[in-house]
Amino acid sequence: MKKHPDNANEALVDHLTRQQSSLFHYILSLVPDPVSAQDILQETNLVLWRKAAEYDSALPFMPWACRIALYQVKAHRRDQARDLHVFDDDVLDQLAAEPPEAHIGRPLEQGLRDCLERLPGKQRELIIARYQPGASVESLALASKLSPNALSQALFRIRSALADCLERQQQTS
Amino acid sequence: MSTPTLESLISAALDGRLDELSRTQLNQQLRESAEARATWHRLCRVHATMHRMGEAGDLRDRAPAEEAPTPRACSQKPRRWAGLAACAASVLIGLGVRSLFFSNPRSAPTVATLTTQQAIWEGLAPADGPLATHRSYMLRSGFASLHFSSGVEVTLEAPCRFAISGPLEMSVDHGRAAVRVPEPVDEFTVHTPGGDFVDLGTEFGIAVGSDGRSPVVLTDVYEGEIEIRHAAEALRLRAGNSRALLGKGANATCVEALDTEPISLADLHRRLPDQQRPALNDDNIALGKPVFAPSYLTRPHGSVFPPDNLTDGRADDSGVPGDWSFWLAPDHQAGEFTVDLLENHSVSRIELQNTRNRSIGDRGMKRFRILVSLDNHDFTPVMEGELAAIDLQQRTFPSETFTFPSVAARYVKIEGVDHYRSADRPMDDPHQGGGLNEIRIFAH
Repeated sequence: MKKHPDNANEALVDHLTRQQSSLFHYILSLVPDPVSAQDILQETNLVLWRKAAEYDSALPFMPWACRIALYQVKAHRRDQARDLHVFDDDVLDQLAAEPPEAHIGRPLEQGLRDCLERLPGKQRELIIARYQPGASVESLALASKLSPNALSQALFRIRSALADCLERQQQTS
Repeated sequence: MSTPTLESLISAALDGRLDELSRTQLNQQLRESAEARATWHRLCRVHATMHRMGEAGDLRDRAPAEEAPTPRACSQKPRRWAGLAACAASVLIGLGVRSLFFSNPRSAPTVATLTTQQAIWEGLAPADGPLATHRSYMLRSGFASLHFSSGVEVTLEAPCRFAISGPLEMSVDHGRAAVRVPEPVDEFTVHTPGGDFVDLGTEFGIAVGSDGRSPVVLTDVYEGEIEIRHAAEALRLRAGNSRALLGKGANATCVEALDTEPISLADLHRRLPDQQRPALNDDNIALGKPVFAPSYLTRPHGSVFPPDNLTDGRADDSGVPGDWSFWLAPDHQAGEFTVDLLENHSVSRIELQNTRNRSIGDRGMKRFRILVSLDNHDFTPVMEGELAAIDLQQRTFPSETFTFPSVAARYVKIEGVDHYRSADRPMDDPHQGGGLNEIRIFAH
């Protein structure tokens, strides 16, 4: 077993756990499939942990972590068939050049929970059903008697409303 | 054919429904517009967070406990979103047993990071780093620290059985834990066999034990406020207050004192210790050996202190109700006990670690005699000695060494001559007596 007794490693542990949401967001913005994004996140965590000695706690954590995450994303793309890539190489580089800022304050999950409470009941039920493990737009469309396209459009509007709500929370906090 | 809107292209991408034509169109729009990329990032943040919450089971109602009704409290936020989620789950194809009961750290988001110190595990032995959720871990020896993605920190002392289930909750089925909840986290819940302990900010300690039949859970609030939630009621507790939760379900009660003893967890480790403990038991031939005594102190609610505790390898008055690390003689007695080494040895050194009876400070061995025997019948005196009292401020207790000319022994007896008392009580107060944390015996 190991113990990392010095302050720099404790700071790394603190950043690593606090910024999991932000790292996952960054990876998912480059690889929209959540299963692949989670695998890449775990690989990234392992690399960050192994590279703990290289981490300079005087510098911001997210740029360093995102650089490592991008390497893992590109490694994943190399292993994946080209026709499964959502983004062309140049678009990927553009998106990667705009990493999310480190999230501070209230955890995103808490904020989103409050925003979910504010949604109208049917919208809330729909978005929650969409994110149950294993759910798909096709199966939900079947259950709610909508076309998959119409359901996807409805989900876009709900996600936009939640994004607006999160931004208002950040502005007021 | 008209160009699809960015809205429909992003939707298709997030929901896994892009075909090759729409993929090309999405790439073109993102390439040409910074605003389009900003919209993409904005919605990805919601998509990512919702996905993580779904995988962590954070969007479901919590499953009910097997025996007791689910604890409720005035401040508990309702989560009644079952509705369409349940209908959708019933039409899903290929949904296997997932996140509620098993979570592979390689496929799930990190909920907490583990750091250990001199840890020995029983059964599943996790490595330092991201810890899997919904798995029961048994820390047999040493310490562990959990750093949750929510910012909450928990320090665990062995022996401790625990599991983590989300960024804001965990369970402790046995053992000691210190929980620190930083601003702006609202609530962190520790589930125990007796009930739920909810930290409303900022720090408290908990010791989960048993009286042999029912849970006995002690809690002490160091800073801020907690809420104890069990089937009968919810109780708020502020800094400087402590309680024992006795029993479970509808029969659970909260009490301020256990028998005659005040409840205090001031001696809990609230962080990983600064220094690792030296290895004390490498050559200790008494470790794990049977110990017998004419009697020992027993009180209700897990306040039992049998002599087997003297060779269990645990120290410093640690433990929980029903599973303390030290032996106490009955009231008003200095006490005695005998260690059976199970075979003859040539003994020349003994180490003793005294007790002060946790934060109470009313017990401990003072003067004593050491005797040895080969047949548990005829005992030969070896030496007499005196132990120092353990100061109430000490976190790690010293061991004292007593050496003597090598002597053949299978049975080693310690007879207490007198004992320490509480400085705050009269000499004739009945609730004090002898005791000891640990005996270590070394061969020639």
